[in-house]
Amino acid sequence: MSSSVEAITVLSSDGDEFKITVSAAKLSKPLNWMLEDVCFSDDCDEVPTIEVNSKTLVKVIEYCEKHAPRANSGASDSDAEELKKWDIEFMKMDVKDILFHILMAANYLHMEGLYDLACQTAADLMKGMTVSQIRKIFHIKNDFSSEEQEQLRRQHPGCSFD
Amino acid sequence: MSNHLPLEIVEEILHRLPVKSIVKCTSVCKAWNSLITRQTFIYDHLNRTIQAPNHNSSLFFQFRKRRSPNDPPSLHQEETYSLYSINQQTDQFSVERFPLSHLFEPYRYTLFVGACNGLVCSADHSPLESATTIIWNPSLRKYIVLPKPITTCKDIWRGRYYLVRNVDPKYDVFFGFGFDSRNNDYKVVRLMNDRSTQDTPHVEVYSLASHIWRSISVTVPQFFLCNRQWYRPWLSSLFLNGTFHWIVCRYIEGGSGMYYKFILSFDVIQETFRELTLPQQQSNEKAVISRLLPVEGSHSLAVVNHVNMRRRNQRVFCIWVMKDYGITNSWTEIFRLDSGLYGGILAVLALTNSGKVVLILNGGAIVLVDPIKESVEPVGLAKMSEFFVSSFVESLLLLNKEPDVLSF
Repeated sequence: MSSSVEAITVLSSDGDEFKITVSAAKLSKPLNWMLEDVCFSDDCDEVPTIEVNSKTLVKVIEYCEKHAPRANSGASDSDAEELKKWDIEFMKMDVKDILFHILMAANYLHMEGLYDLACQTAADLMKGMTVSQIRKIFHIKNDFSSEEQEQLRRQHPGCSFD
Repeated sequence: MSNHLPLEIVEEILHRLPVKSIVKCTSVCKAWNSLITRQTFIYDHLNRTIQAPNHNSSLFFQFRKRRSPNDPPSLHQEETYSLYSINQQTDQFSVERFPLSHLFEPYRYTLFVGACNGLVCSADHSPLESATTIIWNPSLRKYIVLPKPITTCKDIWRGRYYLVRNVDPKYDVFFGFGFDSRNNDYKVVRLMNDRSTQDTPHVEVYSLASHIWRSISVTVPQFFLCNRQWYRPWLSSLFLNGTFHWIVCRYIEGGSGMYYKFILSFDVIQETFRELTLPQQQSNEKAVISRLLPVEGSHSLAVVNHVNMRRRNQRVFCIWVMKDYGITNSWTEIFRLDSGLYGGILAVLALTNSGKVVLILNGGAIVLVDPIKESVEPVGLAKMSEFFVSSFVESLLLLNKEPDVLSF
């Protein structure tokens, strides 16, 4: 890879092209490996495909670009504070629509910071939810019989399931 | 991409939930249920909690109403077990209470023994056959009743003194509760000694894994329990670094009746006793009461000495920390508080990991004080005058131990 390359082009799973700066791509281990393995210069024909849909990839790249300066150089406490606020705003998204896709993308792209952030966001959302609300957002079918459910309630009288 | 999250991601999310929400998730579907109730999940959860103490620690309190000899005997004494969870961002306490006295025999004196990895041990400190000891998980509201210890005495009428004070006329019984990391087991140690003799106490160890008591033959340093009349924090132990600690007394040789206090310790893995020296005040300061001080989410041994200043007719609380565990020279006084502050300090209860100190004031107010900024935040009110405090983390232990484990 030539050191003059500042941005690389990748394809989303829907086939759209995206530009991501080299410093931002370093936040992901697999992308980093690609940087080392694949030719990213303009005259290279091969454009690597990331198995993440366009809508999600936009968000992932947005996160990477925002976090790249701090990840690459280290930053002051005030920057860290600002970044924390930015993360909170960034994570205000529709769970079903995009958060789960971000989770899977962060897991697939080995992005520890984003994965941790997305897991925590999902956990915070679940805290106030009833069991049926949780099933709904996770697309889970209830496979307990009503007897089994009653038994679970009896086993955990200290916990509210609603 | 499918809309279903892989279980490995679900597991990551679940680990970030409070214990109550995790338990709720056992009823989402069978796959989640078997994921959560797996032993590996329960241990992983505990390890993550312990490794991030700043986010997860809280303080566990038991408050008891002090009985006077004139109080009519009541069936169940007034007592409250409370969990005070500290939110690190706001220093707000949330309080949860646990009624437990119905699990014990009437008229008994149930005391907090200790807390470790989300489990709490409570016992009624009676030498009688009918004595009850339980290990419970406040977060899950589950408990297990321990089998009867090996050495007990027959349930005979032991007098009004027993009823009122709940102190046995002949025997002292006290306990420790902690985790044996070598055998991955939770243990309760029980000491029973005849107050009238200087004989070695009878020592038994209970293991949660085997659910049995066994007597152990071990050398115990000579000691007696401090003032047993009213105030008995020394009956509960402080567990840290794999060791139980109690403050006890020993007569100075020569028969003058003078005694000194020291820390009796018991190694949960080796099952051996040791002694540690208490921090020494200066010659013009006399420590009236010494108490082991729980430090939230920490492995430091700390002591508070309630000190009489001889010259100035003043009482202060001196807070000491043993910087290197086991090294007597490393006792360091970190700060002191005049007992007249804030309208009168009744006792120092605990240190938080943000460097604050939890106090109980005259009148029963519990406050959180920053000794540097001198800020005072009210936390709660305890109209109880005996109290036991411990550092606490939530855990899922006892979740999958049916049918031995019961719910309350």
